[in-house]
Amino acid sequence: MLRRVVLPTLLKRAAPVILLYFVFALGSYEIPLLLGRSHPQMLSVYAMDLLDSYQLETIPQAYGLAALYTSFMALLLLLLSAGRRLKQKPV
Amino acid sequence: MKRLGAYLALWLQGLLYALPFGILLLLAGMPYWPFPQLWPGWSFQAWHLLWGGSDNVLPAFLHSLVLALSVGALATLGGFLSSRALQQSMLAGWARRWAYFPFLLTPVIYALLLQYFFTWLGWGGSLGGVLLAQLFITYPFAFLFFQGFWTPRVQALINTAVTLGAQQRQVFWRVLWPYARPALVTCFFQTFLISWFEYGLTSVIGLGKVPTLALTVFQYLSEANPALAAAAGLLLIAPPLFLLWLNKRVLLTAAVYEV
Repeated sequence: MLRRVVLPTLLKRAAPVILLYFVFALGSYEIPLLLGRSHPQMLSVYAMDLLDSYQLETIPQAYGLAALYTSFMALLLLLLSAGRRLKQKPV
Repeated sequence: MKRLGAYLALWLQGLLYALPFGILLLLAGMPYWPFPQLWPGWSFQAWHLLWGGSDNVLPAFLHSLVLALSVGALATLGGFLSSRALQQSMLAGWARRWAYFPFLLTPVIYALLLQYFFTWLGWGGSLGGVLLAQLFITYPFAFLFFQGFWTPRVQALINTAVTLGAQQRQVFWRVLWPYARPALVTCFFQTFLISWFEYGLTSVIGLGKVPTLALTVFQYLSEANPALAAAAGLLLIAPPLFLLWLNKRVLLTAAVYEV
């Protein structure tokens, strides 16, 4: 019953909240900066390290990482909305 | 038995919330606890350094206060007015969708995307630039916050006032303003908090030239100065707690959109 009824019902209901928390956790900065390990770093911490570095060549890498992250989020959103539209389509 | 369990859970929750404050107080007021002393000795050295020493945090505190109050007021007012203007527009759906965009990205990544333009325009490293950058996050929040406010009931109230002969200004000040006050206070408080605790966006756009209290706390932490960090941290949470106490009637009631 748990696998076939409870979990699917809960997941269906909680999907937007899970997505929100996923986005929030993926981009979190302050807590990983204070409590996280130095290697491997969270993406936002790594991007900021690249930006704050004294080497000039790492600054474009930070901008590239930010662009990559934005593209990934946009792609994720597009896939999710396409999936939702497909589900809502009458058979 | 069930009631006792609920009380215990409540106390445990309260303890979990209070524990970090206790640690901050301990670190800020009793930084020395050498063995074999039973109790730590009080010391106000961190507070003296914070206010009078070379690590004067007053400019950072004032910067934070000015930024948070301005951002809170501008975002709340802008969100309230624009959500009203766009409420019946054909662009309302698109505006709502675009308003979610800043929340898809972390403020740090968003700041990295904005930084080039801010530097190009000469706004980077200035208080005005940081204020504008923070509005990029707080204004969409306020806009989305007020989406639920413009119900048919509010429209009916406005229509009734207009039918009874009220002018636009009277409708705004006599009908809308009193009705929206709890929602406005809540939105102001939330946008104030976003701005007050903002770290990533402020540090990237401010280029280290706009010191705020949140940045100062992180600076003390990176300098491995826990006593000063704890004292600045306590200072950081004081104004939001004061605002919460001041507006507890409005903020601690669940029904934001009810009069």
